[in-house]
Amino acid sequence: MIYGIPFLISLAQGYCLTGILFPKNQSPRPPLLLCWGMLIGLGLSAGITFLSLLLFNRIVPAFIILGNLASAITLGILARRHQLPLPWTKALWNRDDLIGLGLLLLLMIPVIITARCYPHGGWDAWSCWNLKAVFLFEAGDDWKRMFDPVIWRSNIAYPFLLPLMNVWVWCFGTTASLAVTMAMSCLITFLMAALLYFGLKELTANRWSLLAPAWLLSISFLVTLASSQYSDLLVGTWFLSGLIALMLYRKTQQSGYLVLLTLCLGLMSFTKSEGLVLAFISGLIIKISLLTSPKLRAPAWAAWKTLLPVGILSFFPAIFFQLFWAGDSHTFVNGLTSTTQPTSLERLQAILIFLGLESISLKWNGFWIISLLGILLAWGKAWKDGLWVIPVILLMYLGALTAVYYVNTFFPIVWWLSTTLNRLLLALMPALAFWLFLAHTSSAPAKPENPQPRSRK
Amino acid sequence: MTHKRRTVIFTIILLAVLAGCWGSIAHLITLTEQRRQRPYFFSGEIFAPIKPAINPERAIGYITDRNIKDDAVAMRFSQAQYSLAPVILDLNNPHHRLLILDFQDGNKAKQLVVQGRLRPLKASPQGIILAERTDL
Repeated sequence: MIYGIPFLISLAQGYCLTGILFPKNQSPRPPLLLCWGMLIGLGLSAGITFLSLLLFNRIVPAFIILGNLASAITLGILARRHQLPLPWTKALWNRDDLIGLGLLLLLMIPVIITARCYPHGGWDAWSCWNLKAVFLFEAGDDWKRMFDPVIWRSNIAYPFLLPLMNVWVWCFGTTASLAVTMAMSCLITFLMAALLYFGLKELTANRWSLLAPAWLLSISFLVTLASSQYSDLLVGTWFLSGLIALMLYRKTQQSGYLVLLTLCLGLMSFTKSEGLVLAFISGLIIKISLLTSPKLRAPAWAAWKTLLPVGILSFFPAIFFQLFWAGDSHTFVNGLTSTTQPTSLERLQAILIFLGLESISLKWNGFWIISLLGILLAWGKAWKDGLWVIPVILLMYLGALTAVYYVNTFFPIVWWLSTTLNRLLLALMPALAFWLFLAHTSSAPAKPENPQPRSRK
Repeated sequence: MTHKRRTVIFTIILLAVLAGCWGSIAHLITLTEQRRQRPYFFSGEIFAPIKPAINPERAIGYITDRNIKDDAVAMRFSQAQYSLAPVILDLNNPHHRLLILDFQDGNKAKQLVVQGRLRPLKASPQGIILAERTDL
């Protein structure tokens, strides 16, 4: 029960921070603001936990808790001055929001049951993500032993946002509770689904939007991976929420969305090494898309002054980690130069064949085939209004992954692909579903208006 | 035309959702039934009783006669590492003061204790021995 408090603190500061990024009465509607608030709030709390490592070279629960409380109070005061509405103001919610929320909670039941059946999560949970969290929480000022080459099997070169999020919650107790890591994986899955629904709803006001998260949560393989306590779905959720912010920026030209987008990309870069690559590609393509758009060039350019410090701050943990802390990767052999383990054309063929087979595998319930069909049916609209950004990022990212699989010959390729590719693809599913639904529903009426407050009579 | 295409793709997705939900329910029933018959087991738990005895150490040796390339063995080692963290398990490195002997063949473990001049500190019912080197 005590572990509910840190989640509420994160939600409060995330909600307030996200809300004050927008002019009065122009912020996104509370359901979307709450989802963003929870996600950004957890990122902010993890950031304060990271600060504890920087300042004291250890996890200091008192500093972390007080830091989060101070941040929540400060942001709360700013939000109050900003007249940010309280999220539970009844008049700000409509019937669709409540029905959607109820259905999403219903669809979360399989995730919760599966998570309870595997309390330690999947392989990478105990060998990498939760292991890092235990090192941070229990090793005191010797926490950097988690980068010791002896445990090279535990991905010592990976960053650790998800472990920091778990450690933040653990600070309210005395043990590295498994209930927290389980709850965190369920919460991230729920946020992914809710962001997808409320993001699409904000952009298109279309009731079909509910089908998108329902589609994802009905895939039992996704449910299994989502409850495995890995970082991949978190990467996918950051990516999705960044894309929602981008599309809302294109629609409203409010710089607050660009700040949100920058925060999401920065936090994604500290979630996983693949997240860093995806953040770099996304940043580059989005910048090109904004600066080449005649309508958006001027406002986007004007926002850079704000975005620069936000970008520096949000990318700081990832950059600092890569420069000073990351352990050497002991699982890399450059196949282009190696004489003992050279790469080959057969390796490339194996990667491409495996990608093809994976996309038609029954375990995905036809997700990739239906997505392709959906994009083909929407063809012209799938590239309009800045939507081209999404496929370009996805293709470049897939290209980068293929290059890594091809060049790094440390692992036998079939084994490596069979153990990792599905998780990497999982991270792209929310964005792909978002693209497909947006392409088919973007002709619907523009941004929904906030429901008028009801009369008190 | 656009409307028609949208209806087609969303109907396909709706059918996929219904099929997926059906599959999910079947999967959950199987999973919960499996759990009832065979309760969840995390092999790291058999190492947990050793933790208080090794806590001040930075790293200890993990000596085994099992083949680490075997997935089940790699999982056992990985779960042991999780349960004993933040102490590092150094696989098959006998140069640490404390050693965990996780042997399939109990006689081999006893032989190692005698020949390696090790002093057993703790032994679990599952055959795992925590030993200290006496020649240091």
